[in-house]
Amino acid sequence: MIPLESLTSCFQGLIPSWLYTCSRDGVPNVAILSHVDYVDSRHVALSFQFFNKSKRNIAENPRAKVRVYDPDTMRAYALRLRFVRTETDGGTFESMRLRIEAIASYTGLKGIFKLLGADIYEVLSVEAIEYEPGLPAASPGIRTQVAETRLPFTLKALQEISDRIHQAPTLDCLLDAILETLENIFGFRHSMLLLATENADRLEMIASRGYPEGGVGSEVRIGEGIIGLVAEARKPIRIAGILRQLLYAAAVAKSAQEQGLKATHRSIPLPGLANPESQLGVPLLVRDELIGVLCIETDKSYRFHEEDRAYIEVLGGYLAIAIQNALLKERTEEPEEYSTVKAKPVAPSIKAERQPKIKVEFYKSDECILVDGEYLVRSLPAKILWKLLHEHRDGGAVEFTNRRLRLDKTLNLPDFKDNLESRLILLRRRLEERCPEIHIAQSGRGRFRLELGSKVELVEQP
Amino acid sequence: MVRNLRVHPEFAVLLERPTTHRGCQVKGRFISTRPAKPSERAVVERQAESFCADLEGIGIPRALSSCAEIWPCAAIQMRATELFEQTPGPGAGEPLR
Repeated sequence: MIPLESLTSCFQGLIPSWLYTCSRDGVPNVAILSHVDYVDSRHVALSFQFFNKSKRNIAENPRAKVRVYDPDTMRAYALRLRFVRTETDGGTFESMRLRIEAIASYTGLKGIFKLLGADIYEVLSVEAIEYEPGLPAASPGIRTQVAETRLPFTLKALQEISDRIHQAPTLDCLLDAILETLENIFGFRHSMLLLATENADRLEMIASRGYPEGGVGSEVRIGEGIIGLVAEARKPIRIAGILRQLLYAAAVAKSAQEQGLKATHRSIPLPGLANPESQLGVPLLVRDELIGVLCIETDKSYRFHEEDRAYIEVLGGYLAIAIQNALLKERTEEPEEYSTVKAKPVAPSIKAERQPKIKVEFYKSDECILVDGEYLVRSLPAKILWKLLHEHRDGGAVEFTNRRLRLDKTLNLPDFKDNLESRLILLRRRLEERCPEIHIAQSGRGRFRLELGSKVELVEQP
Repeated sequence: MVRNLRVHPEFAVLLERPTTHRGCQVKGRFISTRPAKPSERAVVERQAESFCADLEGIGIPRALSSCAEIWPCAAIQMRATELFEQTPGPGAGEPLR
């Protein structure tokens, strides 16, 4: 028998698989499957999303045949199967469920397009399908760009990442170093880091690479899309062939609509690329605490192999520790003399005088800031910015320390794990992207300067 | 396939458009088979061409799909007895009228 391990390319979900079943009376049925997953050297799992004829046939006659395709060569393989059981929890079920739910939330189909079970089948035989009309003639010369060849998730690569990350002097540098290293070592050109915030129901993007619009400060709700699901399940999710899967989900949406069912949940946008081919979300966990999520997108079908999973989890744990260490390090190295850093009045610069005035509005009920009517930032970073601008206006303050902010009761920071450093980085990056007239410049460990490139009018709204 | 049909003439054919997943299933009984005639070649090629074009829409490049050998082929005559909806979703499997 051809070993199942040699067919891992066929289990990426890049080319649809075909399932053949037969009723007790000998009436055949054929269906296209959204997922066939490798379980172990003798078993595969088929996604069970709807009660259908295949499912009924299997209950009457447990034998089936599934045809899978190698996306590199379009070579087809027939697997003779015997139904063993339906799983509704456990590792195989979870990884299938998360992939399907991520697709569902992109199409507003959460709750309709879902995994009811992972049907586990024993593989009785594997056979390469020889020439038949309509199938590509086996030709080793034809290797295509459907899928990129696999990238090297190796211990050596992890070691290299570790070496480069160790050299980052600050949290700010570390965040960019992580994404840069992922590109240089693995070739992942589009990636983003999202961190957990003081709001338990969402994550916020703090760094991105390969997206012209940046997107720092974008929020993702826990449980929505690939990033939100990674955060909720605390497990990596990888999806290949997204285009095909979205089309499949769209067909379900249309058919559900015709049946009078309505997609009740709003659809959410894909993270960054307009048409990603594959996505990988990695939870960043330290012990059991979720620090954030790393999301990687590719515009070609990247093939994540089963053995990559362990490396990806190790990488996630490693990055989480690196980020947490950088946070703790910056905090312990903060200057002690908070009381000596006084607001120093400065005359407004000539440059600022010439610039047109910008209007900064703080909406108290939403804790959100708009600049000239455009949304800038909300929650803690908004409160910090509002405080800085006030102190600047009222007392001419330009120099601030993290410690002073931390001790400021009006900001209402939690006593423990306040994430102040990461919130300041987010605020600074968000200002760079959206409002360069207001600039926050690091002026030493644990201290920074507020620089204004134009006059600022402060308006507080209810 | 033809060998199987001779032993067990019940058949099921799934027809699906890759880009929309709109599909139906035809069930019935095998009657006979013969080699396709040269005069039928144009029809077969036109069908293959439009299928390859649709496959491109789901990211399967033409270099891969168009290398499928479609000629010579066999014509199969069968009696369709039932027709079912097969677009994925809650209505899949319902009879089509």
